Amino acid sequence: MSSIILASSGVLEASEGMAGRIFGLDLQMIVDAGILALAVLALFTLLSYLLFNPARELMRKRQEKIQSEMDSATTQKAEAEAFKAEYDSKLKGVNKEAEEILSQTRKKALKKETEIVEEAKVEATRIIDRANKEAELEKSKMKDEVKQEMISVASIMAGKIISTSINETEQSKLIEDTLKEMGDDTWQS
Amino acid sequence: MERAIVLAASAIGAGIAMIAGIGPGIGQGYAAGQGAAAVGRNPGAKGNIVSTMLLGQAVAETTGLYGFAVAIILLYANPLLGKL
Amino acid sequence: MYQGMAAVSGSFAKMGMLRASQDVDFGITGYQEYTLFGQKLYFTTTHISIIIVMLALIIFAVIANRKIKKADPNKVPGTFLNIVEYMVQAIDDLTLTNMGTKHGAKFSNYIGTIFIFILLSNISGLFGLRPPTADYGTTLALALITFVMIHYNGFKYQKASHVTNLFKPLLLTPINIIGEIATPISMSLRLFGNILSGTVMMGLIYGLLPKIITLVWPGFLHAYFDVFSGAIQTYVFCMLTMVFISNTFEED
Repeated sequence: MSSIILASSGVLEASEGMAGRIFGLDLQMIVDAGILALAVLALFTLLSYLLFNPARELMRKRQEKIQSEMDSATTQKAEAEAFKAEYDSKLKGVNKEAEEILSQTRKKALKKETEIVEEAKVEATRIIDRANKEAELEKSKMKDEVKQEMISVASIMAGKIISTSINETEQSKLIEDTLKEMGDDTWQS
Repeated sequence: MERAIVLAASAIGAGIAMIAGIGPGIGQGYAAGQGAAAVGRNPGAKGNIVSTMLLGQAVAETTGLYGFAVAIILLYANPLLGKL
Repeated sequence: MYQGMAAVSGSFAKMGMLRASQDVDFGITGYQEYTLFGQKLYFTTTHISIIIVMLALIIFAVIANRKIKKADPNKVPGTFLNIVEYMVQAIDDLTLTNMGTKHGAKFSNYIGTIFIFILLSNISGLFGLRPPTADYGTTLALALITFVMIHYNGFKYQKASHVTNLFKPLLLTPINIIGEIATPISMSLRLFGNILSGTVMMGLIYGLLPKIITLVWPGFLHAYFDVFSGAIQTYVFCMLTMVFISNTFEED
C-alpha cells in the first residue's frame, strides 16, 4: 500500500518505532487530532476566501444581472404593448377621422353645389331680366321707329293722294285722324 | 504464558465483540426494506426517502461500530497487556 | 500432516502463486520521529495523506479563484466554472434545507469545507493513499470541532436552558450527559470504523491474493469501499453535523 510506495521511493524512511499502527488512545492521537483541527480550520479559511465566497459572489452578480435584464425586458415589453395599443387606437381613430372628413367634404360640396345653383339661378334671372329689359327697350325703340315710319309713310301716302287739294292744316288734321283711327292697338299687333 | 492467555482471550473477545454486527445488520436491512416499500408507494419522494433512510441507517450503525471499536482496541491497542 | 501442508504452502509461496504475504499492511507507519512533552511522536502516513489531500484542494481552490476573478458575469461560464458553481450551489442548498434559511447560510462554508475534505480523504484510497479518515486522530478532530460548534451555538441561542435541559427529567440526567458526550465519539467512530474497515479489507486483499489477481479483481471492492461507502459516510457526517447544530436553534 501507500507506505510501501513511499518507503520504496526513498523519500521517507519508515522509522522503527512505529509501524502497522491502527488505533491507539495515546498522545499521538491527541496531537494528530490537534494538528488536523488546525489544518481543517486553515483549510476552511482558505476555501472560504478562495472558493466559496467568490463563487457565491459571482453567482449573485450573474443572478442580479439576469434579474435586471428580465426586469428591463418586462418593462420594455409593457412599453411596447402600450405603444401598440396606442397605435391601434390611433388607426381606428384615423378611419373615423377619414370618414368624418369625407362626410364633411360631402356636406361642404353639397352646400357649395346648392350655393352655386342658387347663384346660377340668380344670375340667370338677372340675365333674363336684363334681356327682357333690353327686349323692352328694343321694342319701344322699334315702336318709335315703326311709328315714325308709319307717320312718314302715311304722310307720304296722304301727300300723294291729296297733295294739291287739301291745305297744310287739313292735311295734318287728316293724319291725326288716321292715326287715331288706326289706334295704338292696330299697328302694334 | 500469561501474555499468551491474555492475547488469546483478547482475540476471542474481539471476535465476540463483533457479534454486535448482527443488530445493525438487521436494523439496516429493515430500514432499507421499509425505504424500498416507501419508494414503491410514493416514487415522487424518492430523494427524501433515500436520504432519511441513509441517515437512519448511519445512526443505527452506531452500536455495531461500538462493537467494532472494542474489537479494534482489543486487537491493536490492548489495555489488558499493560496490566500484566 | 502439518508439515506436509507447510511444505505445500511453502512451494506455492516460492512459485509466487499463493502469496500469504508477510507485508499485509494497512496500518499507519511513522516516518519522522520528534519529541513533544518528552514523548516520542511520529510524522505518520496520515499526515502525508492529509498534506496531499489539502494541497489538491488548495490547488483546486486557487485555480477556481483565478477562473472566478477572470470570469465576466455577463458571459456564459465555462465547464470548470460550471462545475465549481454547481458544487457551491449544491452545498448551499444542502445547508439551507437542513439548517433552515435563517441560520443555514453562516454554516455553508464550514459544511462545504468538511464535505469536500472528507469526501476527497475517503476516496483517496483510489489513488493509493491511506485514507486520512482511517486514522482516529483525524475523525476525532472533525467530531470535536462539531462538538464545539454544537455547544457554542447551544449557549448562543438557548442561553442557560442549554444546560438546564440536561436535567429536564431529573432521573435521566446521567443518560443525558452521556448522550452529549457520546455524540462526538459516535460520530468519529462511525466515520473511522467505516473507512478503516474498507482499508483493512483492501489491505488484506492486496496482501493475500496473488499479484495477477489483484490487478483485476479489487476494482469492484474499491468502488464499494472507497467511492460508495466513502460518499455515504461523508454525507452522513455532514448531515449529522447539520442536524445536531440546527437542533440548538430551537429556543425553548
